[in-house]
Amino acid sequence: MKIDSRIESQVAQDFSLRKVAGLLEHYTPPPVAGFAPAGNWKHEYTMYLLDPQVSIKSGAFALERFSKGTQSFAMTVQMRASGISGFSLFQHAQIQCRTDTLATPGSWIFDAKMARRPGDKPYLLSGRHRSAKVSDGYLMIRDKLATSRTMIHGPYSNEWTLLEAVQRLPGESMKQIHYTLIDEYDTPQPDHSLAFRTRAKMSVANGPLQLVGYYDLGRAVIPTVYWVDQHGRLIFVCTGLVVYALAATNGQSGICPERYPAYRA
Amino acid sequence: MSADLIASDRPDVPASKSASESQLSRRNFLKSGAALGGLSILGTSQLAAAIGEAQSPAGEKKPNILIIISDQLNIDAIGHYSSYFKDPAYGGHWAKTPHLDRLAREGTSFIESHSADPVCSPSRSCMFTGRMSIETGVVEINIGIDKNVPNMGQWFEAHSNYNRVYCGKWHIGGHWNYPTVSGPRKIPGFDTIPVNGPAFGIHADPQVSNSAAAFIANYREERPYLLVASLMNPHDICYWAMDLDGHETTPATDVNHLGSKLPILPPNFTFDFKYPEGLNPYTAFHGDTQWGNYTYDYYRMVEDIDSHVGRIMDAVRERNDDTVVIFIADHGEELGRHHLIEKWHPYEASVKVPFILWNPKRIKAGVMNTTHLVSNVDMMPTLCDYAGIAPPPHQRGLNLRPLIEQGSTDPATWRDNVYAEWQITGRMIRTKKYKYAMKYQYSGNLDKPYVRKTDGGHTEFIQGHGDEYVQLPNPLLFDIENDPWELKDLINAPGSAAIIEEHRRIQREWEAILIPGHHFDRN
Repeated sequence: MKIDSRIESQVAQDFSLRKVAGLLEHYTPPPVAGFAPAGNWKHEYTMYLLDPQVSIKSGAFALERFSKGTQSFAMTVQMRASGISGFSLFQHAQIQCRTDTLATPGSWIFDAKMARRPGDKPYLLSGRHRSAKVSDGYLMIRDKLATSRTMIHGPYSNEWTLLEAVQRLPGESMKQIHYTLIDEYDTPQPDHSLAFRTRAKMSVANGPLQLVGYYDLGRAVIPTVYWVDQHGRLIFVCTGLVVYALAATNGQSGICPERYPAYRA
Repeated sequence: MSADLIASDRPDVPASKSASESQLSRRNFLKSGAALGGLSILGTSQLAAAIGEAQSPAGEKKPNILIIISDQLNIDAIGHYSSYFKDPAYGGHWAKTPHLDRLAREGTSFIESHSADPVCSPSRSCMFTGRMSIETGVVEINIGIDKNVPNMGQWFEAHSNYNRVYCGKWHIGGHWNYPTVSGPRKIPGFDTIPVNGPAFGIHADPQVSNSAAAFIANYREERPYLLVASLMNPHDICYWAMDLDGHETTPATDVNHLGSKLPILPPNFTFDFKYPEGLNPYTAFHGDTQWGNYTYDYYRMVEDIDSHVGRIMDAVRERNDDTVVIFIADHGEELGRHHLIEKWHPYEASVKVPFILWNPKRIKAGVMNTTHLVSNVDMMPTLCDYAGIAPPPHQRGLNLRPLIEQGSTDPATWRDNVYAEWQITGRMIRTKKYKYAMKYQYSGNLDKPYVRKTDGGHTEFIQGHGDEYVQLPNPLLFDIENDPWELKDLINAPGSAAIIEEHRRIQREWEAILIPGHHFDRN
């Protein structure tokens, strides 16, 4: 892809924006559709894998937030990652969270399976349902065989609820947070830090974007930047070979192409 | 599986001892990895006698078998081994791997563990057949195993009642990574849990660990299972370094501000010998900071793999039944060592692989075996023995059960060398002290890779005829015991001639017994 000078100056502001450079001219963010970070909302995201030549759609997920007053909320996560032979990995979770800086999850239920369609039975014993709870400093995960306990020290979040939390962060005035990230729904990864990174101005197909970026570093995760738009919506997540792009808000869609060309410095 | 395949894996070689195998002296035959070629041609009762107490008693319920594979994982990246890999440049000082550490603490680890051909497809073909890559025909990536060489799934299907299930990267069927549930891209002998990358561990590995853990948790059949959970990372690091027409890839420039958090460069980042002629050096034009970024991100991928192993092993432990677990990798990653990236090379960073065996009821815990030279071709005969079946003919590996169950550390009870191939026509002989690597000239023709000295014609390898092919100058010789970073090439050092000749002799012995095969692509 030939990068014109307009895009070049934009992506130069942060390494992670190179991952979406080829997307910008084809991408239209969804309408705001009454979105408020601490209210009720539903976001749908397209997942891209960054091949060296072209970024391709690899799945999708939806986050839905249900406010339960000022102190807590519930979130559902539905994710589909493409498999082979027409199969996908389907994951579904319902999470009870506090409305705090990290959207701290207190308890959740989650299931995963390989299937052709969401309503199909799991293929070849690949389905599993579990529940989890954090209590007295321990993450307890229960399935039909056993309950496991893993210690969690200090603040913690979850890779999905964190996507809600970054929409409520204050930008430059944020203090760096050291915390434990619960990977998927069951694996605590200590030694993470989340901090303000930078602001950026970009242009997409239907106009300008003003972004604020937050930066996560820590165990088991390739450095990740969360980009929030001027309406407070998490619009891009950029990490390693993966980009999530906001495709719809409250049922109103933008435009996410099937693929986009790689950035070439 | 066809009957002739069970009796003999190649129409032109009878199931009895081949002429070349007969020519080996008994001592050298038993002490080299070639010994299993001898064991495999014995009858079942003779085989049982040969491996003694390791043979399962008749009627014993067979264990489940779980193979967890990581792709491109350095053995020294496992934290538990940092007491052995003490240099601060080793990975165990930079990555946190609590789940692999626990697996190693509770099982037996081999530190002198080698890939039989340090790149994805060839190595995997060796692991799943017990044969060398020249025999499976998979001497390069993206090609399939010789149709006459049985893979583990086929062999277990024909000789056992194991329920055989494959989940994850295969990459030894042709120009594809992940198997389908049916059709030409289904792995013969295995059912498939249909995960996909397509070549991205970040995408496929969560599918693998979730599905494999679920399979284990849900399994209710009486017959045991043979489950392969084949993870792809930290192989994704390849995308960091791909040089596209002189352009940096996007992730290669990710982190330029981590400072002291970036891992240090290895002692052999610079070295004072030339790459041997014929070695295709995979490298990248990074500055020091970019090398640091590359390594930093690699270790995050290692930690990610560790999490997937933890998820799968949680399911195994929750069942608390009789399951033999093998954790292994197909090859390592250079990480700037010898200023290289990726794998493919005969250096330690490419060739050394983790190899952990776990079963609290059968396998000694807490053993870090630094004495015995092992190879990933040892996986096949070991698992056949746990399944109570004879291994396929012409096995090049050895059954590890006597070591892992009896805790033997006596090197006299074991082979004194391992053999490996590299970059299609390369050869490597590792003895306890030394490593010797050479390369035949590659013709450029995958089906006839060797060049005859006499007329320059291209040819397949013919057993025992290595001296007739053009060899490239500048082979390598390292004293691994005293120079683990391979800083000093001894090939022209005074006193090396006898050492070189001894390693060439071992190479000739290997080449006399190996039966070249042809790749068969199931595209």
